[in-house]
This record gives sequence, C-alpha cells and structure tokens, in this order.
Amino acid sequence: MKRRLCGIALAVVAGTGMLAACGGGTSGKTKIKFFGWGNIEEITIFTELIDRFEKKYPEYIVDYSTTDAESYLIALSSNSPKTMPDLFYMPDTDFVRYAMQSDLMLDITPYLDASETVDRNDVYEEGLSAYMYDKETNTLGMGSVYALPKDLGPNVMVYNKSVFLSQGITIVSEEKSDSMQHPYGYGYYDEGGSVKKILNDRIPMTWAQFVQLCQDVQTGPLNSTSTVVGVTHYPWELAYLTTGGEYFDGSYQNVIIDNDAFAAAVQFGADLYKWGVMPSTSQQASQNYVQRFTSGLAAITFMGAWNTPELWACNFEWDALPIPVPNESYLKGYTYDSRTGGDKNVPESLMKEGAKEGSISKYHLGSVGFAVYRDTKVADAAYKLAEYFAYDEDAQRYLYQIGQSVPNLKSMAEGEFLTAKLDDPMYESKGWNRPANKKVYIDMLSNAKRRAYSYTFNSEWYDEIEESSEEGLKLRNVWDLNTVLWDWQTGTKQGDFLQRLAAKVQTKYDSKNKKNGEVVFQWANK
Amino acid sequence: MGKQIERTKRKTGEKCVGFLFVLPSLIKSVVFSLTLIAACAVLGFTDYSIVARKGVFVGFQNYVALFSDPVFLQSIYNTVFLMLGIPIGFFLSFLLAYALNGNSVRGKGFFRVVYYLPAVSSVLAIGVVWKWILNDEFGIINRLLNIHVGWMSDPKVVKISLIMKGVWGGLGGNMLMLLAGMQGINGSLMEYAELEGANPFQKMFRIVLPLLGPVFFYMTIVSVIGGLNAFSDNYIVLSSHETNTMIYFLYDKMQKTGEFGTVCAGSTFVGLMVFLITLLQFRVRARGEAKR
Repeated sequence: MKRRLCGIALAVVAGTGMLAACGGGTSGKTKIKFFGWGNIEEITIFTELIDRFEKKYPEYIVDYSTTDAESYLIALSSNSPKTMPDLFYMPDTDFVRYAMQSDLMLDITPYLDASETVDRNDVYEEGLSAYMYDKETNTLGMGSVYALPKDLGPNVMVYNKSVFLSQGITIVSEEKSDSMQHPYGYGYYDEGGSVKKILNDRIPMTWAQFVQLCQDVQTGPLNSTSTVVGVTHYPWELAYLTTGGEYFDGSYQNVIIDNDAFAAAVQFGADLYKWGVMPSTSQQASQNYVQRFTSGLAAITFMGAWNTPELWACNFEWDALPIPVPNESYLKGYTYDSRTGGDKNVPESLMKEGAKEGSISKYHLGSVGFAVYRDTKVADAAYKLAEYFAYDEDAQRYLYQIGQSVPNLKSMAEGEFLTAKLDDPMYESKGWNRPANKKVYIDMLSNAKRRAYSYTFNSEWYDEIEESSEEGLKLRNVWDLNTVLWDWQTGTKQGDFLQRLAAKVQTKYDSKNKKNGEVVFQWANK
Repeated sequence: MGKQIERTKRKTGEKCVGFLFVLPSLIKSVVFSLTLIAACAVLGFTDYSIVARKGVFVGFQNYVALFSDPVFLQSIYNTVFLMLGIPIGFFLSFLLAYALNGNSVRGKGFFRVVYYLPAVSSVLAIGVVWKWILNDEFGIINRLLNIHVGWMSDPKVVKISLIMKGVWGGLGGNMLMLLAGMQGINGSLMEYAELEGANPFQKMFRIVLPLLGPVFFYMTIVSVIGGLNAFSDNYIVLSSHETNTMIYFLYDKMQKTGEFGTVCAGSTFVGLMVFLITLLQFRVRARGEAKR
C-alpha cells in the first residue's frame, strides 16, 4: 500500500514537473516570462494590463515577476541564459551601456517594421530613439530598435490650487496671442480699479514672477512647521536646463558647466531659501517634497507624470503649470534676504522683464523601455507583449486613465487625453480629478529631452556634479548659502568653484566615455 | 597487540563518524563561503562588468582605482569613525549589566526585557523609527529639547547620530552577554572579597572585569567585524555620502556602475581587514594570557 502511495506521489510530482517544463502549460499556450520593477501600485497596474493582454491574445500566458528598482539591473544581469526573462525593463539611463557591452537585447526592428499596430508617424520619436543604437558606428538614436518605450514621463510643476485661491490668486488659461490680456505667467493687473494677482497657467513664469508668486502664496515664516511654504525645492538641473544650458560642447568632448547660466541657475535654486520661500536643506531632508506637498504644507512642487497618482488622495485641488524660465537679467537687483529683512517684493521692472533669449520651459523626461531577450525562444510572443504595453490603444488608454502616463501615441495624447472627461476608477469615490491643465504635459513632451546621463556611458560624471567627491565642491555649500556662485546685485559669476568642479566632472566623464582621447560613441540626436 | 589494533580501529571509526557529522557544515562552508571568497578575490584582479558579463585580467588596477578614489577613502574613515561607538557601547552595557545583576534594582526582569528589545526587533523597523527620532524638523529629540540640530542633515553631526543609534542597538545584546558572564562568577569569590574588606569598586575592577575578559573578547571580535561591515544604518536611516561606510560605498558602486571587478577588489580588501584585525585581537589576547 505504502509503495503504491509513494508511486502515485512520485508520478504526480514527475507529471507536474514535466508539464511545467513544457513552458507552454497544459493548454498549449505560449508562456512569456516578463521581469520588471515597481511599487505595489505599478505591479497592480501591470497585473491588470497582463490580464487584459491574455484576454485579447488567449494563446499567450504571462509569467510576471518583479524586484525592487535599486537592485533590478543586477538581478537581471545575474540570470543565466536558461533563467533570463523573455521580456524585461530597460531603463533609458542604462541603455547605452547595455547596447554597447552586452548581448542581452534582441534587435526588434524587423518586428516593428512588420507591425500592423504601430504607425511610426504616430509615436513620439524621442520615445523610440532612446532605444535605438547602431552597433557598427556606435551611435545612439539611430539604427536598430532594441526596446519599446513604456512611457515618456514629462516632469512639470504642480501647485496646490486651494492655497492659491485662498491667497487671492486668480487663475486664468489664456493661450499666447497678440491680443492676450494676461501676457505674464504671473503678474499684478489693474482690473476694474483694483490690483489683481493673476496666474496664467498657459504661459511659463519668469524666475522673477515665480519668486513673487511664492512670496504671495506662502502663509508664514519658514521656521514654523504649520507654514505653507512657497515651493518644496527647486532642482538645480531644472533651473539650468531652462536657461538653454548644456553639459557638453557640440562634440561631446568637453564639459561646459563653468558658465554664467549654470552659476545663476544653481544660485537661484539655493537663494529661494534665502528669499524665505523654500525650506532649508535640513528641512528638506526632514520631509521629502512629495510628503510636504501632499500634506498641504507647500504650495508648489515639481513632479513627474508617473507620480501624479500620489496626488489623488490629497484633500485639496491641484493642477499643473509650465516650468518657469529665467528672465533676461537673471533677477539682477533683487537683494532681499529673509534673515535680515527688507522688501520682499520683486521690483516691477523685473516682474515685467521678458524671458532670457534661448531659455526654454523644459525639464528632463523619464523613460523605461521593454526589451526582448536576444536568445528567447518566444521572441514573437515577447515582442507582442512589449508592443501591447507600449502602443496598444486599449492599454495606453487604461494607462493614462489611471494617471500612470501620457499616451505614447501622439493622436491619443494630443486628442482624447486632452479632451476626455475622465472617470477615475481608482479614486472615484473621492471625486478628485486629474489636472485640468493637461496640455502642459504635451508641451513638455515636445520641449524636453531625456536625463543628461541617458546620453552617456554612465552617470558618474553627473553624480560628481550632484555630490562632488571633494568636500569644498559639493553643491550643498551653495544650497546652505556658504558659497556664492552668482551675485544678483552685479549679475556676475563668483569665484572659481565651477571651474574646479568642471575639471573634476571632465575627469570622471573622460574615464568612462573616451578612449585615446576620443568619445567612444556618437549621438544621432543630442 | 590485538587489543591495540582494535582500539585504533575504534578510534578511526569514531573519527569517521565525527567527520560525517561535520561534513554537511564543511560542504556548506566550502561551497558557499570559501569558493565565493576565492572567486571574489580572483575577480578583484579583473575588469569584470555585470553588464558585459566578461572581463580580462587587469592586475592591481582595481585596487589602485579604489585607493585613488576620495569617496572610498572617505568611506574607510567613516567606517573607522563609526566604530568609536563600540567602546562607548561596551561601557554602557557593562554599567547596565552590573546594575541589573545585583538585587538593588526593582523590576530587573522588566528592564532586562526592555533593554534587550532592540536586539530582537526588525532592523528595518528600528531604522525607520530612528529616522523619525532624528528628523531635523519633526524629530522627538529636537522637539523635546527645543533645539535645531541637523541630526540627519548636518555633515558634522550625522556620524554622531549613527553612533547614537548603533550604541542603542547594541546595548541589549551586549548587556545580556555581560549579565550571563557576571552570573557565572562564583559567588564565594565575592563573599571572600567582602570578608577581606574589598569595596564595590575593588570588587568590580579586581574580580568582575578580569573574569569577564573572555566575554569582552568575544564582544570585541563580533563588534569589530560588525563595524567593518556596517551598512544598514546608513542605508535605511540616511542614505548619505557623508556617512558612506565601506560596504555602502561598494553597494552603491555596484548599483550605479555594475563594475563587479572593482567591487570584488573592495570586498576583498574589507574581508582582509576583518581577517587581519581579528587575528591581531587573538594575538593580543594570547599574549595577555601568557603574561598572566
């Protein structure tokens, strides 16, 4: 009896193993192993998308697994050929390294060319070119396609509409035209005999207007924990990119951050604290920008499109705004210091000054691609799943409806995404809407580029700017107001800080991006 | 003659049985520890990259790169600095154990449990709690004392914060070991000392401390190894370069660059440090014992 039982048990185990080993399962379906990362919300969304995919294409079954984002690439690269997933995430910031050095990704150009779903004219070029690489000429942005974009996440400025309204700000949406009544992003207008503070959410503010707006919406001093501060933080890179500044010269040989625009941009991000409208670095470390904004303790913050679902549970109304741009004189003459007192109002001449020539309202895009494993036995199926995630209409509609991303399809992004009155499946009961000013996201897509280190071999050079290995060259010295890079009074760059920093960044850049003094790869679209 | 052969056979048999008992552990050590340590040491001499999944022999290049990197040198300094918490922790643990060993404290059992709690709590949970205790703006320390110290943001203070947390975390475990050691001390020795007129300090310095030598030795070995491998506090509480430890530096390097060869070189260096310092501790102790 015992023997028989053992025999049956062994047969069951062996049978199960054989069925599992078939890969296609019992029903003859093709199994696709898909590996990614994400928080619980993202995993829930992708589980739902996979369910939809399996219903639409019943011949496939998806085995979805994830790890944390930090260890993702190591987990991916640690796979043996037998355990490699058929489809996996490829961050745009690491694409160059993987395209150059590894053979993990399949060239999916033939699949894309043969696709009946994808119209190359209807997809954002920046999304696709991020995952194109020509192995013969080592050129990024042209040649074969190695991944399809999960999304193109523009960063925008978001604001607490309830606070704005309570502080007497009137919000209008007026497109740029010769006859427009409110030509400034933010300004004081004499209307009907009284001065009105009016924000036009279709026009980017200048730095001067932004500072005045922050002064106007802030509810108290910085050292009070109940104060609604003007802005949570101001990323130095955001400020720099809006000046039209670049990190490298045209040949990508030399680092060019030792310039006026960089000095003014970093100083602007630091001096918002001096001007009393942004928490100190210490306060920023205590409570991150998302926590501060969602808890209603900040009027303005900056956020990627993928993060906006975090705002739906807020008990206040919020909306999106274009990124501010520097004004012509970089706030020359504004010398207010909240620690010593004085007139905090920005001079009228600065408020009415135009944007600096060459400035542009932009910030970087975040993107991740879906790459097919080069040696997968189910390449057709894996590509099908990637294409479904990236370009299927239903999938894209679902993703934008739940606020995960702006559609990858131009016609959808510039059509129904802007106009649709959306139901809110996740937060319907709360009745909170997504931003009304959705066009900002589309505008940002047309202006923005991907993160600077997406175009280089790795991020070590960029990390050197963010947190230099030399104590005296850390940007923190500027943020803590111990080092001055730019003098607003005279409008001039100060000291040799940037010269020294640029030299260190150049060394880091050269060590990984050059061979015999020449850059090891090229860019089709810088 | 026959009996001797019989005895030899029995001894050999016993040895074989003994060997069989330790075999699983031996296999585990060889497969999962020694082999990996050896592989790590070898890879440290290559430019193996997790991206390319290949590498060539580069000699000591990785070591040269590591020791010319100011961030790595800073991480060595930070690691050593944070180990200042070890003697502070020992001192406080000893005081606690001494207090809870006698009969003068009421509710000894309760205090033993309270002080031991951190040792059995989740590292992650403790990290998150400390993150809030040390929070510059909302933290309980700054609020209660009505001060504005950048426990988590001021580069001059963050290491002190980590030492505080480390001392607190190790207090219970060390206290328990010392308590066990104290309770193992023969009571008649103390009685005899009292009869001889020894005061409490003399008893502590002449009897208790010398007899706790092996416990302190064990605690030192474990704490120094733990100190050299410090990672979680910086990772969970601060994630800051200001307090980069060696292991955190290597972790960060691996995540950002995938340069496995360099990371293996760094890991080999840390492993070598642990080995040499532990060896040194054994030598010092052996010399001390011989003198006695």
